Amino acid sequence: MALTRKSRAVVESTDVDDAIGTGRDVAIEAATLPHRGLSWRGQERLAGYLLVAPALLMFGVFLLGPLVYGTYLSLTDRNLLADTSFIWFENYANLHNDPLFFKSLRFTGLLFLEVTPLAILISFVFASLLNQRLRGTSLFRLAYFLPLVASGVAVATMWRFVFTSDGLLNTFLSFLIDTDTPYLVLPQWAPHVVAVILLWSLIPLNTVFYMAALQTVPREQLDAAIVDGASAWQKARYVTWPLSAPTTFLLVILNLAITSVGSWDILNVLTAGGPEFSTTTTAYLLYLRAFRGQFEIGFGSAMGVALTAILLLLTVGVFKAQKRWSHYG
Amino acid sequence: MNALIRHRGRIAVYLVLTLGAVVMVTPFIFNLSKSLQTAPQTFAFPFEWIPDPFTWSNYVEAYEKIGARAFFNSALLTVAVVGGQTILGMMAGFAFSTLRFPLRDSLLLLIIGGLLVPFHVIMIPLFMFVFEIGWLDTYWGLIIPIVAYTDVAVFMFRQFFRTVPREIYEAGILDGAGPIRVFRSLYAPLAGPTVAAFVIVSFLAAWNLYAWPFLAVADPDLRVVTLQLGIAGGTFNASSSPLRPEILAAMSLLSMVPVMAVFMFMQRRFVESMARSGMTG
Repeated sequence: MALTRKSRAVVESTDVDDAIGTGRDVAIEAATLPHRGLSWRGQERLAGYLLVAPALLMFGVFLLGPLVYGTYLSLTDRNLLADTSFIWFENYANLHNDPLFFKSLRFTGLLFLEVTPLAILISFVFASLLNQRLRGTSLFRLAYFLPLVASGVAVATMWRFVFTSDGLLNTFLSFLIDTDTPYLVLPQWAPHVVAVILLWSLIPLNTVFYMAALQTVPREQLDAAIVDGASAWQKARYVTWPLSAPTTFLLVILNLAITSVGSWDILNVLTAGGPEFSTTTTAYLLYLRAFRGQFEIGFGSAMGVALTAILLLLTVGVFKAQKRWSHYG
Repeated sequence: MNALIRHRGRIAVYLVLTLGAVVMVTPFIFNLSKSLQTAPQTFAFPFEWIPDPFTWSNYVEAYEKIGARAFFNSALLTVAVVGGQTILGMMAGFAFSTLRFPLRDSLLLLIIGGLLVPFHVIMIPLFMFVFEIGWLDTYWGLIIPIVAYTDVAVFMFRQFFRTVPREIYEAGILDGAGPIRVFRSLYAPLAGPTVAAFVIVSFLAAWNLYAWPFLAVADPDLRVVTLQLGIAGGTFNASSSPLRPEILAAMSLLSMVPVMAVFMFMQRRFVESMARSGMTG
């Protein structure tokens, strides 16, 4: 649809009238009034609701609905076998009777702490180096971003045979020591194997974010640092790293979400939470409770609500920390 | 002197970059090599990098194990999710950015709030709900709930349409078009680059989806590619037949072919899109 002279006049007039509002509204009203039964404001309102409705409806049915339903289920003893009755907060009170609940929280926390700082630091270094635009950078980018295309299932399948007793890791180690440790079968090793794999799959993602952030660092700031004789290290430490802080906070939240919950796919294929539940995150445990063994849907739901609450609190905490940091930093 | 330092610095940079690249790529090369080996060679220790002989037939077997049906299902799921979310996201994104109506910002906040709810946590009630409406083991149950998670789409399109001056909208209205007509004829055609960015991101996410198909589908005819791979090699599946590493390696590489193709041909755009979608988080 081409703009007529009349409407182009309106577009052009806009730089002048930021006091906009009623004057122009009345003009538009006058120009469009005979069009339909509704005023143009009314039409706009109606169209707004119509356009938002499908997305909102789907969202309500498949996200908000389940959220409310899950909270309700968490207050029942629903399972696949017996009748359901409402038991208030009994499931929540019973969480601490589940010996695996705290173990799973502990593993989730350790996984986050083991992976995130490294994932963030290494990614920042890689992004800074890739940002130098040296020759061959595009080839390096290809290599760094390749893992982005792999699904959790493919990641787990590809890494699995690295850690078998006759796997790739032991092949490398065999040049130094004699070893045939089957890492995935041993509870003292399996959690770290999961951490290594998560680290590997998080680095490309974080690097993408840092590269985007580094592009927005103002050229003048870097030039000023160069004029002041800053070394590459000093430029990174005092210019680009502080300026990337919003990205770093975002990545802490993203990495929290992925290590705690998003790791589900990898765990399901790689370890199924074993050996001896040493790699069971809380997100995996609630699946085990609800869909394996006794099918304790109610209890699993309670665990889900508790986990969501914990993650929300942590996320809010990170946001608060960011506010503080940007005020006093 | 200065040049020497700079030279040395450059070498250090290349060394670090190369080391990192090798680590990132090793699992792919390792699996590529394994996928071309004969069964006995895969058990050789130490691991042999060069397949001898090159056993291409592993890929035929891997393809049969995944099955044309699963590729079709994955394609169907991906097209429906990408298409559905793009359309829903554009419509809502336009309304949330340009139109004025009561409760607009609260409704937007509601949808964006969805980003805070981890999918794997609401999986149980979603499963129970889909079970109760009789959608378990149907394409509907597999696809529709995923289409509904439009938070990223809505946010990306809203951010884009916000950059379009509202005067364009008003000009359209003055020309006698209704708001929806303005959206279709004036706004939607402008969104090309944002559509491309969103399509890339959601294509990747939809193709790689695993947990929901894992729960929602038992019928082998409804399985998607990731599910076939998980079932063939997953530890959860204690009853699975003895693993054949060379077939699993071929299967995991095959499962990645479509996304890999997009990645190779649109690398720059791919990376930009990922960064953009993440800015929503």
